[in-house]
Amino acid sequence: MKDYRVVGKPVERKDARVKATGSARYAADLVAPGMLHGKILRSPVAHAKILNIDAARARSLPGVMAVITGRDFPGIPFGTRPDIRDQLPMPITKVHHYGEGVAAVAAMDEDTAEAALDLIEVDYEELPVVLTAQDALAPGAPLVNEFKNSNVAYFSDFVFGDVEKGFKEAEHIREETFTSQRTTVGFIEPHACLAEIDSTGRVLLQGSKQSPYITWRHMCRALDIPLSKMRIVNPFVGGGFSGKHDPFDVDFASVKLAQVTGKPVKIVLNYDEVLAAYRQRNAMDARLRIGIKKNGAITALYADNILEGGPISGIGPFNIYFFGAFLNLPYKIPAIEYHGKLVYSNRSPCGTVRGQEIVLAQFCIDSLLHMVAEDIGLDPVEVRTVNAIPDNWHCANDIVVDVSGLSECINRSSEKIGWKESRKSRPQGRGIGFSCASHPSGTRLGGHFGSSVVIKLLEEGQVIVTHGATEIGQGANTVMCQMAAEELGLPYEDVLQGASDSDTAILDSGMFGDRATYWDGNATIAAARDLKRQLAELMAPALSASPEDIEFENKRLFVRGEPEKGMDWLRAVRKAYYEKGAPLYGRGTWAALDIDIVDWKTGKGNLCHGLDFIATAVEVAVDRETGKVDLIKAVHGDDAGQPINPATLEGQVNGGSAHMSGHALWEESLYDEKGRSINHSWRDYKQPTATDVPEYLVEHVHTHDPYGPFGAKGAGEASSCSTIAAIANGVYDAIGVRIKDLPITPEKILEGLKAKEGK
Amino acid sequence: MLLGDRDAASIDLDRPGATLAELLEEISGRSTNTVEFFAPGTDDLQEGWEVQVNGLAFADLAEGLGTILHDGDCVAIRLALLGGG
Repeated sequence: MKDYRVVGKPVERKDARVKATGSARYAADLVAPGMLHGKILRSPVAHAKILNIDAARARSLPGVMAVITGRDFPGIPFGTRPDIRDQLPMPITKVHHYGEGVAAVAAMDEDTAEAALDLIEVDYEELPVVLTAQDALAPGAPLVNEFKNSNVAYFSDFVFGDVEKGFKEAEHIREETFTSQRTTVGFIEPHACLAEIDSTGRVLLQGSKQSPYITWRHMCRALDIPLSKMRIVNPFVGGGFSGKHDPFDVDFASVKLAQVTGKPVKIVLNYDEVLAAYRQRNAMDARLRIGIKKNGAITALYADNILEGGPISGIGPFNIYFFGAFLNLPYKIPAIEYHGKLVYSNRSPCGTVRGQEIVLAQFCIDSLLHMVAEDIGLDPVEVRTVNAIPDNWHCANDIVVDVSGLSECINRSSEKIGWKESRKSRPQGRGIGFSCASHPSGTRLGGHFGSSVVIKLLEEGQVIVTHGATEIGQGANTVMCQMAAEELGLPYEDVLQGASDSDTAILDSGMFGDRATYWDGNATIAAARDLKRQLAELMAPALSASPEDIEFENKRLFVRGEPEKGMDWLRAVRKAYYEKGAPLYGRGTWAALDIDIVDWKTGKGNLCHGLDFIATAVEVAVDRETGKVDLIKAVHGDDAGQPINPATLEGQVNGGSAHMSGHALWEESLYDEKGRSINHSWRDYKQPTATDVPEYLVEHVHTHDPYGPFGAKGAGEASSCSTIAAIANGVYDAIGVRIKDLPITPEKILEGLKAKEGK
Repeated sequence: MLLGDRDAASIDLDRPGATLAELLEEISGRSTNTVEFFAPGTDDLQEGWEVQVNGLAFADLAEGLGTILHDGDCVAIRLALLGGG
């Protein structure tokens, strides 16, 4: 393993001080001269025709500058896929869920804007609601989405390998059903944005966006303006977790109100609005059947799955796809049959949440694996080791795993959690659960999918790295600066981070799927090499060497094999600037052209590089009297290739796990029988805090990915995929109660204990 | 899904000399979704679609939507996505 100067070191995050001191400016902090404040009127019903909206009284309120509704937009639908464009900026003919924005006001101040909302009269004709997957698929069910003549938004049917043969070869088969609840996304910063229109009519949007490219493209389509008529700049973003990819009514309304009034308009949501009406994770109804040999080797897997996703498809087709495609990982499964459906409903729209629906698939598989292992008398660690995908593995759906540290991850997590010792003696009510997972480092999509980086050389010797990824708290800016510093032979402190601005950066296709470190990291290395090449060509005559022989280390250029024959970096930079008149920019792009584009019809293909692996072990304590579960300790054996920054990597691994401990135990977005949200406040929606999470330990399993930057893989989502099943298995290990219906509440545990004891 | 029939892998167009536009309209008509490959009255694909005829990208087709299709021609339609996971 190469010893790097900057890569692999837990350097201070580029954004640490401004965030810790409160000086980082988020969207809600932005101000502009003459700025107006916007507010959104929300539907009190979940499904209804909009008969009329009368805003006359609101418009006449002193201080109100404009009121808009869905009819102020061109009526052009948008959506993730061109064949499923089923969203409008704001509704025109009907509302689809409780809290949907139906009108927006811009006023001189927030209080006036809020007062004006009370003066807008909306006539609704209520319609029957569709709340569950069963409701959606019932004969004669009301149709939810006006762009679709069915409540099935999307479906996938995949067959990988010979499933019939696989089940015939099995020596034990078990089938189980699993369900999962609606959860919110869970970022700290609510949606907010500031829109301005310049004198040419060009839009500037500064918002809390995870994937500004996606927002930019969708908004220009739905506003019917060319991309050149909109500039999008990202301020600091307070978390995303897949909840801030799309443009929302808040973004559209601020732009439209700015266009109508000619003044900047800022809208900042409160968190009740976010919890009630914005992106959530799909509810799941799944059935899995697994066949295994007596030695624990899996021979076949069958899965069907219905995701209830709210009134739009959004990113849902990917959720269906990923659930099926990633049944192939992290275990060796020679044959898989999968049927997935995404259905519309009148609950809040779903996107996804960290780990995408691999999280749900893994909860099912790893719970079921524990169950069948117990059926045949096999240790839960052993059954995972038997099935762990090794290096150079070709999955049944043609994903190729280049490097897998999974077996070592399992060894490390089981050792550090004290698995063997726990089998000899453990306190009453204590248990340990395991689960594994794998996550890709970004997939190859159709359309724009590459990453690009520009490194600008400053005349004082520092460089500015501008990449198309988005810093949403995960540390992307820091690791990109580390990689640039390593490649350029500069101190980390001499590498500065540029702004995320569509006018100066080629924005990535989106910030998702663990792709930033991998794709933008490779582009960063390419940009640094391009800058070095240019500087070497300019300095070669002065060093009496050919450019190819010039190396860069420790802020110095020198001739390979003759370290005394060189010059300081700063001297070279100044010669370039002052003698050659050549300010330099390094440019780098990277795209995995050798992998397959996602095949939506078959689910087959080598759709990613850089599969990271994790083995999670969680120790839990269950109180038999109250049903309360305490998380004691969690160990993650984690193969993220070469860690670029071990501290931020641990933050990502532990963060993903903490996030999904809420999904496992406490969180649920609840609705009444009319589809109205009933727990949209932080008082009632139970997300874990620092006092709820266990002691964490990350065991880095260093591998070297052949395609990753410095051998790194993506990170941050695998632990969210492995945590829920580990907790469910831990609860079972502790008290012998198997919960397959998330969340694992005290009530369910007490019911399970009663049933077990025959009460 | 695109063709409105999960088992459909190919389409027979009875009329000789059918154009790419006619094929796309046929697919659009069969779809269970609201699928628009091109805006009526225009000669360009809508954003979000990548179409090839016998491996040749749409932008390189001299006749564009008016390209005449022949027996055995392979038309590939791919999605350009705005989103991912």
